[in-house]
Amino acid sequence: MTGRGRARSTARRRAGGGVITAFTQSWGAETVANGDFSAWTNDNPDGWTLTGETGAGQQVTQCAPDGSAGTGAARFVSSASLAPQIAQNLLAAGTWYELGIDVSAFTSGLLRTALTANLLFSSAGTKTALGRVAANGSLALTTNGAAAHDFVIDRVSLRPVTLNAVHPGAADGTHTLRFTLPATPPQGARIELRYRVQDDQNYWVAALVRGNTWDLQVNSVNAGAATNRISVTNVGTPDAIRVVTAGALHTAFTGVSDVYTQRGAPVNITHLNALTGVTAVYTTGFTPLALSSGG
Amino acid sequence: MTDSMHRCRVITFWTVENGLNMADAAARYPGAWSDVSGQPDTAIAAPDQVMFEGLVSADVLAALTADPLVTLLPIEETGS
Repeated sequence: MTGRGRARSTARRRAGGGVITAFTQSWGAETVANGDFSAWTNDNPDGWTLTGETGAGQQVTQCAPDGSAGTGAARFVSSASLAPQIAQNLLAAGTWYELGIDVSAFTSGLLRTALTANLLFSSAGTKTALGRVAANGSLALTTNGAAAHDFVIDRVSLRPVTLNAVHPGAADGTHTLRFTLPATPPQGARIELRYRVQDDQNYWVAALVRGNTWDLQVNSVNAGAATNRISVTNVGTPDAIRVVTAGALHTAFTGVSDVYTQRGAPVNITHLNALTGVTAVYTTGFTPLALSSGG
Repeated sequence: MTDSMHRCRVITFWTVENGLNMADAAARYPGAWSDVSGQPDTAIAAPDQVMFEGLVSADVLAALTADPLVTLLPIEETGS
């Protein structure tokens, strides 16, 4: 082998076989004013633009977090399609955000908000979402539909997220992300192994997502639109996700202590087959440990 | 619910769940679901049809059988 040939070979191994252990994803400052609903004027939450109120049967009103008389939370009541809404003009086009919402009491209805797309919540608890905003605009929270709505929001948080760098990996081979799970994951918590990355709008992703259980998804993402290709509910409490790629074939796994279990059947889909970028993206509470991608 | 899992294929349709194109059957029923059709991203639009392969419980298989929105194509039964 010539010297030049050795150099090329070494570079190829490094590009496709390295293990990344330094993760730089960071969260910016809180953007929501009065996100804890501690300040009110004339029964309207300070800092929020309130619309859609028609009276006691359709309003946003101050209450205690459990929905009883008191302070520090916002109760949404509505039974009509003209929904009460609170909003703040916060969203900047092209920015990734992590959204957090505490629904501290829930009787009925649907809470709707949006980042990349509409998000609907129908239970009490802490919710989170991670998404890229396409256009400048408002973060709005409202009831959804004409059914009876009665729920209480105790906290709203929106922070910009600076994603990890995309690293050179392999187009074909084994892509693995190891991590520790958050102790108390909110609904919507997720950690993503992105591979065959072109940019933050075009890539493949294997994601561990918190619904009622930890679920695995493998999605192709084209121009920001994600399409689910593998979906497996209740995969336990893994500490790794892995995808093996060979051309258009994608086989997904979850891992526990370096033992991997195939999830779903392999899928055969042509999308960004030759790209090599890999990265990790996650909501608050995960600890990424190692990312690798090699042939 | 029995211990056995059932492999099946379904003809379902694309829907949008919180911004994600999802096969309707995969969005509504627990199990392990994989896209069999392999449609390119640019050709996917709700509510176009799609075929997914599933590995599901007996209870879910029964529900799929009764679901008028799903065309079920049973293919085999596996052990637990």
